[in-house]
Amino acid sequence: MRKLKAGIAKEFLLLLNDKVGLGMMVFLPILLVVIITTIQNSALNLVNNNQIELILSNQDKQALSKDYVASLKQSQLFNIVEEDFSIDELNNAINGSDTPFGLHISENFSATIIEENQIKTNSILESMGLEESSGKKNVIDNKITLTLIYSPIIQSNYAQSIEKMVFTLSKKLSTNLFLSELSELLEIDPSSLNIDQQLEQSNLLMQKASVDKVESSFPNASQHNVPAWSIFAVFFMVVSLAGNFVKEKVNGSFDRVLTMPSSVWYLIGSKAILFWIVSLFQVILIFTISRFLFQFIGLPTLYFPDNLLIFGWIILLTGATAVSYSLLIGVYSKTVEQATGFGAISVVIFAAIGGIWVPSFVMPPLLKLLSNISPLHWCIELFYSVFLKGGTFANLISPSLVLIGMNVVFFLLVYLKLRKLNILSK
Amino acid sequence: MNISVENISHTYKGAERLSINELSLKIKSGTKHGIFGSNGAGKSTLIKIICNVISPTSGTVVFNKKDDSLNDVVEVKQSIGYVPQDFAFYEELTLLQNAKYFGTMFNLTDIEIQEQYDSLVSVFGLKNDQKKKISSFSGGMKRKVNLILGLLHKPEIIILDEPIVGIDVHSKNDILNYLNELHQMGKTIIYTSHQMNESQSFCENFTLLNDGKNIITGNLEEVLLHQNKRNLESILLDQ
Repeated sequence: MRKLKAGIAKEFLLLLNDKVGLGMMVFLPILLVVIITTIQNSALNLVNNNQIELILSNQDKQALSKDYVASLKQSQLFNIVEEDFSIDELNNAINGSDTPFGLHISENFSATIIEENQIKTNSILESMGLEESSGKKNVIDNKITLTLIYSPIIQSNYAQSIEKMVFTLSKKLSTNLFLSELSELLEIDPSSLNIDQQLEQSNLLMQKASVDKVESSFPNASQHNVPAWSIFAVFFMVVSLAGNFVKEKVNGSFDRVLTMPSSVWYLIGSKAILFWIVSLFQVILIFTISRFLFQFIGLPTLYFPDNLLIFGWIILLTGATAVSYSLLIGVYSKTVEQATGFGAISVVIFAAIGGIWVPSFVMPPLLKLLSNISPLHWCIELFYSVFLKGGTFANLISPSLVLIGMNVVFFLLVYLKLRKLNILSK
Repeated sequence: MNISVENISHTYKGAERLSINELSLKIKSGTKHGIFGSNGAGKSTLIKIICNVISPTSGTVVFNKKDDSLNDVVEVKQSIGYVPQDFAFYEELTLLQNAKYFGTMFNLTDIEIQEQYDSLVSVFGLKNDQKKKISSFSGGMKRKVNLILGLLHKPEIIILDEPIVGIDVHSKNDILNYLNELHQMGKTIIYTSHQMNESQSFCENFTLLNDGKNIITGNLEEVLLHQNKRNLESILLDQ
């Protein structure tokens, strides 16, 4: 036990003296989590909360188009800047600015809606036998009355959502007009029908609910990013731990220990324990900052799961897996460059296929299959089950078993390599 | 403690030839034994095998205390002080921090570590540098640190692989003088060096290695006579 303590103390001093390594393990992860969360939070805000910037050019200038512009403003979805632009000028304006959308209302907007409604009304009256056939056409020509222009940097699915919003408001305007005209023809006072109100009213309600049962009403950028990037940071210990292990092999201090009446397991064990403790510290630090300080820098607060015991288990298992993986890389690498280079790149690859950057369910089938070999994938599964889905111990059993299995395999490979090198018999 | 190296062979993974080839050797207790040979002759490999850092492919190394062979690995390890050619310590730490770690691995108590540390630091003139990280030390000082860490547990057998390579005359003298003191206290010293003048004047017995084989073991006269040379350096020049 005394040797283990001396080993841990030595590792601790080495870590304290390695300012770059310490920075990589403590400060960079915090910076990473803050930056990624800020980026995704602002992206979510753009979609969910912020008014969308829109340059509007109304070339129609009739009452209907003015009503339409008013309904766009009332929707509070858009921050509208009105300009007198042709389509080409509007295109140039969107290209040359940060404004993502432009809407061009053509000169025939009102006339087209009126014509369309007359055709519809006539058609209905004729079919009801209330009016003789006029012989006029009852087919509506397709005419472009609205042109939505969007910046090429806008994702197409987002642009499609905006297009639907804009189109829905124009359809609503057209429907209102149609019902008003129909009621006039039927000699009913349109105002008595409260058409607007009737159209708005519906007993079909939709409730928005996430499958999570945690404190936050809806998953936010912190809830997604803090666990994901904390796992990434914990696994990045491979650079320090594996590098440190190889450095000892190369500089001869490992050989010196082999000449001593002491087991090599003290050397490995002290490293494993210290870096395990460091991983716990990393996660607790990042999560504490996210819980209590994020609100002061304009980021959504991270909500902890109710069951802290489950949370603790996940942190311990994640740290242990990162340690065993790092030791594996350290034992099999021959140079510090091999250990740090391969270690870092492998963690980035495991993060990519493991769903740290984008969820694995959106990946192609092959990558989805490959994600199962990534220890980070199973760690993120554990974190998401409690942070986003409010999972219980039962939900954690299968990813936990996979991670325990990975730990056993990693340690077995370490053992086999040391045995092959005849180190264990020293 | 006598050391018998009995018919050992060793080959490194992927190497075409044997690094040690059926080598046998006896080193008497309390002697200063030099192992010399050109680069690649097998000196460092032989030393690592004696120190149990690497295992021979075949053959054994037997440690005899009086007439009994020592089978207890812990006791053998406790008897050996290995000073490798590399700076085998943690340069980011101070000398005392290194001493505490390696001393504990040698089963020394904190008091024993401190006593031996104070004594050795004083002998090698490093008292004023105790609080500095070893990374700030000169090459000569680092050689002394390497030696101090190998001597902390007062070993009976001191095995030195190129202990004076790349250092100034003063540091060289400090190290060789202290090794002579240890020899007078009855310690066995096994020594390899490329610096043949120092080796010739420091050691009592010699083993000449070539291609992993023991060419001859004996005192200076016997070796020179066998090789028909006037000094050790000329033997190496002909190899």
